[in-house]
Amino acid sequence: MKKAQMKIQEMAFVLLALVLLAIIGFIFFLKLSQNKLVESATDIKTQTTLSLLEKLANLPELECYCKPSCKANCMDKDKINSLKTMLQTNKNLESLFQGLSSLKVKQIYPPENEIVIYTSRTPSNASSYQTFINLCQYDTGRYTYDCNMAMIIAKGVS
Amino acid sequence: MRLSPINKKGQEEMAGFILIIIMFIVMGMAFLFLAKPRLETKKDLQAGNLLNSMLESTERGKTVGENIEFCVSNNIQNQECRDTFDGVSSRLNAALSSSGLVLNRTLLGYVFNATSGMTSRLISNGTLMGNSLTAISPKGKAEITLKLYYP
Repeated sequence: MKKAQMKIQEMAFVLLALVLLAIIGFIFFLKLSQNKLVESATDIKTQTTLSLLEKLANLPELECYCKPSCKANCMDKDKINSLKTMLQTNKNLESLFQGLSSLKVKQIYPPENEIVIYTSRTPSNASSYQTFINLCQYDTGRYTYDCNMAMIIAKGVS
Repeated sequence: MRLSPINKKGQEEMAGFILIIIMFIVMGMAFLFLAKPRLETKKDLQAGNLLNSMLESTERGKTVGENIEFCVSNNIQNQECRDTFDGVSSRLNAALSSSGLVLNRTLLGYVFNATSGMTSRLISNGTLMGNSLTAISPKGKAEITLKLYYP
């Protein structure tokens, strides 16, 4: 083999190595970008879910009165019990929970049994989502709310 | 000193080889820098809801947030204030152990900090390393921060 041919071959190998290196680097970069993309997609999904849960907690049929002051993400225990009773007799009210297969509230501290507000007739295997709220009961003697930490748990239709 | 053509060629080859090695080292360092997992502290809505839910809970006719503000801003360390901070700890432990789905992450630990001027009260539990989610809530003169750690 001539010297010039050797040189060309050497150059070709070096170029090949460089191209391979660049490809590996690019794949690595893509992998990193993909991870970031997945993470931001999860963040957006979480935010959407949380805002839906907050909307449910702030339904006029369930939220606390603005007495003595308005509270965000506050559910009135008496309103919940009333709505539960009304749901048993008036099936039209179920339209409030369209798109949900169940809605529950669970007091965390002090721990208490969960209150099932709504369950659809068709069971669902969809995942459930939850966020922290206040479960309050109006004290008619002191004209103020007694509140405890709770979670609102919603399950979508599959 | 005059170099023979053979020596000169050898020097050029060496220089080229060193250049390639330097290029590899630079590229490797760049990859390592990109691959290094960066610890993040993010403000989180779910952590915010957890903190607000705890601060809006009531005890002794007032909200927990009001009691914390009173204790921290006046630097009071009586039994009632100790009960308030014990309650904070119990509430956080109950909230974080009540559901594996909380924040959709396995939590390692938390730091709760209430600050007012030069006074601050710190409550922590678990491993305080890794990424973290934070929530900040100003309460009157006090600023209350909750930091949740996850892997």
